[in-house]
Amino acid sequence: MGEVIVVTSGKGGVGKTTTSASLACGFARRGKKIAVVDFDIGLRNLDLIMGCERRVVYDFVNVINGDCTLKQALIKDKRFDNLSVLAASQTKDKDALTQEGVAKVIDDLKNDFDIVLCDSPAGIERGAFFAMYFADRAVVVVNPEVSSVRDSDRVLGIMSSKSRRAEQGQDAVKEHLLLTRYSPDRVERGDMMSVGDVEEILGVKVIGVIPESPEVLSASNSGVPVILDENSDAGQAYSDAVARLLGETVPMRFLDPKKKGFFQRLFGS
Amino acid sequence: MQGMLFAPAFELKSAQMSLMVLSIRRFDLDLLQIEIAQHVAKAPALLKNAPVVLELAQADPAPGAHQVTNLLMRTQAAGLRVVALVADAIGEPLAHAVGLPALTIGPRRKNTGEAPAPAETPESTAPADAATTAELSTGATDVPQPEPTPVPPLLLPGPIRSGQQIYAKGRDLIITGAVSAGAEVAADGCVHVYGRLSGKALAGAAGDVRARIYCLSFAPELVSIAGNFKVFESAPRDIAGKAVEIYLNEGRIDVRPLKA
Repeated sequence: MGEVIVVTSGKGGVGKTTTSASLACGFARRGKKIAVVDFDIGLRNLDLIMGCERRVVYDFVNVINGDCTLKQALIKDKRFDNLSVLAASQTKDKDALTQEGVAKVIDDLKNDFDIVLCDSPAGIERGAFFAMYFADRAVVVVNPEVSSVRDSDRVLGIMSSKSRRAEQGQDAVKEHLLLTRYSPDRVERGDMMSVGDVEEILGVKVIGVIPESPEVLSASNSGVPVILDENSDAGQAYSDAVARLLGETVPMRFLDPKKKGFFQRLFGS
Repeated sequence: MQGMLFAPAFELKSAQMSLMVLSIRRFDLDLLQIEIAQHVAKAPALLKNAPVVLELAQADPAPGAHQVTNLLMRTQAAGLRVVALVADAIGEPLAHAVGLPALTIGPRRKNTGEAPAPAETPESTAPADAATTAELSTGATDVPQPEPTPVPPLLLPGPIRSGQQIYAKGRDLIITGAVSAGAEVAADGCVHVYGRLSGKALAGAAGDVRARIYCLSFAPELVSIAGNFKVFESAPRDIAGKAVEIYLNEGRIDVRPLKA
């Protein structure tokens, strides 16, 4: 039986889909058989970031409605044989998701894959609820700023009380924080919350810290998840996070401001 | 754009909505504020800042305009918004005097259900009292008395997260963890938070003024005991982040650090 991991946040624009795409590639690169599912019905993005948007024939809602089989709807990644994408529907709205329908898809995927990664939409409504309902583990993506932290707190609360695990009285959903858009310079200047601040407020351990970096945007635009860019800080930080999610101990990187060169110090940055 | 200029800037629509009526019986400003605040604290999601219509027909003693103005402020402080007065013989002139509209109630609702209950006597909340009565009764009489079964506290692991509401009815509440900003924990008895209290904590929600709040790290948005509340935009320096006890001192919220 595979494990279900949800990537969620509450707030929008913090990097859920970027994270889902990178984690999916990261797990695949480590040899895991993985399916990544876009729950953002009506606003599909994951296929774009994964670079498979031209190959979407059937989607999640088609599977739920029985228009096609799960196998037909899964899109195999061109880079990794063991990675498949289930795209969200662009045309339907989120009411197309039913609890029984989603449950069936998730359970079928668990039978075939080591990891089922659910990319949650923003908010705490239907799509987001179903994305986290079946989770065994959660990666809560949070930006180091107060509103993102507050929304994540809300999502963690909902997960601990309304997930399937909570309803069936099983062990709680295992929670991890992933800090994105982290800027050590700004933390040092006191403009941004630190890793420690966020951990203290949310009471959850950080599994990875992704530094703010221009490569993230260019990677998203070209359909190549940033984790595959080995030269970028963000890519390396995602690789570390994947290792930690797989239970390895990897020291945190990119938490300190970059040392400035002589000229930079002289003339400012 | 041209068309927009000629479109009316507003639309007058007819709508029906139901409002709660706050029917005053005993006109005692202090008592009313406390009781209303307690009532609101019991169901904050439903009642906090709810619009209500004030009914004064049964108010004893009948208030004057000045007292009604005071009551409006007290009601707002307690968490309800008076939006109008009931247009009866007493309400109509008063509404005019205090500058609020007077509304005619539709078909008469059955007996004043929403009126705040008269002051209740706090029942055996202190374990010490219960113990003494139990001892006395065993010695003095052989009539079998029902054993006063202590009500166990509601024990929850933290953290209580933003948006969650916890209410321990008729007992103490113990949270072994933090209470996040945006979360609300309430109990008819005491509230214990073994962690950081960043949200709201309400003790003595049913009116027990002896109830207290304890927390390991003080950073709340609001604390309330028996309807007396205090809002903290930021915690005072000397107690911020400290382990403290919050109690009612002559009707005012007081906070003091717990000695190590």
